[in-house]
Amino acid sequence: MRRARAAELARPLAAFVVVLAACLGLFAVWQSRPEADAASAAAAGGVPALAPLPPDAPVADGPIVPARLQIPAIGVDATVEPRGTAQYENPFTGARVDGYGVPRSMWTTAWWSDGPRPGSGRMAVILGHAQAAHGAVFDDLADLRAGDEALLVDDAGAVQHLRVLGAPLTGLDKSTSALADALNGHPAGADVAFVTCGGEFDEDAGASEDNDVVFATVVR
Amino acid sequence: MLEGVQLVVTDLTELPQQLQDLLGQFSAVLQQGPGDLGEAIPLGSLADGGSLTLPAPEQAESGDAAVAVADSGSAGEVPLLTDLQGLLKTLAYDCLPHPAASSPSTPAPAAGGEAPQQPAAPAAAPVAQQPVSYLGYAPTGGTPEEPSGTVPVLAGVLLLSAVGTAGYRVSTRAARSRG
Repeated sequence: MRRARAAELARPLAAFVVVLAACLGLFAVWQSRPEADAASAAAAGGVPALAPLPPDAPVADGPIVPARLQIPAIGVDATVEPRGTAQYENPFTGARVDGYGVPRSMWTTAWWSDGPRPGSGRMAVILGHAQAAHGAVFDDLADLRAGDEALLVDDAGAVQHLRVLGAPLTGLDKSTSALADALNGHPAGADVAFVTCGGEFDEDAGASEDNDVVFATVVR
Repeated sequence: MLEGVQLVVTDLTELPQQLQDLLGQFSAVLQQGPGDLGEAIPLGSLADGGSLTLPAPEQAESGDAAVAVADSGSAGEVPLLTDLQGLLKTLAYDCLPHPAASSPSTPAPAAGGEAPQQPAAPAAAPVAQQPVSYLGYAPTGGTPEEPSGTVPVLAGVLLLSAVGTAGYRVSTRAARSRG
């Protein structure tokens, strides 16, 4: 009697285990396919496949509200979303601080909309993520070199051409005022600062330890 | 070229003063006896709308200035001259550069130094831009603050497995009850 009861319970249990294993297997296969990163990026709300810029796109002749950013040297072609100042708790100091609003997606960028517009004569700040599990838009920002090209495009399609100024600033410690100091002391002629994270990822803090900054100037 | 401009400015500055002095002399003459002045300058025409021709700067400087009135009429009254003097003072104050004040085209030289040679400031000079105080915190690394897709998928897998198992059990029981 007891044996029969056990056999009766074993069958559905076995079925459950089999189905579960099958589903997990399917999930594993699905996750490991080559385009998984792109799918993850798409799920994160961004991405990639933006229409190519028309070759005869008009050149912006003044300050713009950026809607798209291209940095060909590091394969960046991303939307730019406006983000204002936000309140954070700095995980390295525990202090409540004003910080830049960051993009929702790993594959989009954010323009600090409480600051100047690119081309206004004062330096604008554009931020993008780095060091995410499945990659992020500014992963290779620190690979930029002086003279590399960047393009900002507004909603109307007007293009602002920029050139990287100098070498990237890396290792700006988040537990200090290094980022603010670097931005407030920006080089002459800097019209845009691209900001992302760098350095080691602190597991306890759940954040990267540093910031990296690349300055660029409007060339036409 | 610059000297010529300066000369014109100087003349314009001095001309109203000279006219005021001239009118002051006329007032004195009128107070002494208007009959003398009536022959030289029929001032009543000013009140009637007659035209007043100002002397050339050279004439004013040389003291040969004269006020020519086109119309003739009765001798003028002293209040008219006083008003005319007032108008000239107002003109000199409002419309001509003040000798003490520095103007864009002729800036006052620095004390003990040479006069600056800079051109006049443009009329629509850009307003000085406010300095920007950049923030010092940018959390642009690591996991984004968004729901991960992994947890919902795993939950879905478990749910599907449970549903499948329950379905199998129900069908097995149904088969047994039929048998």
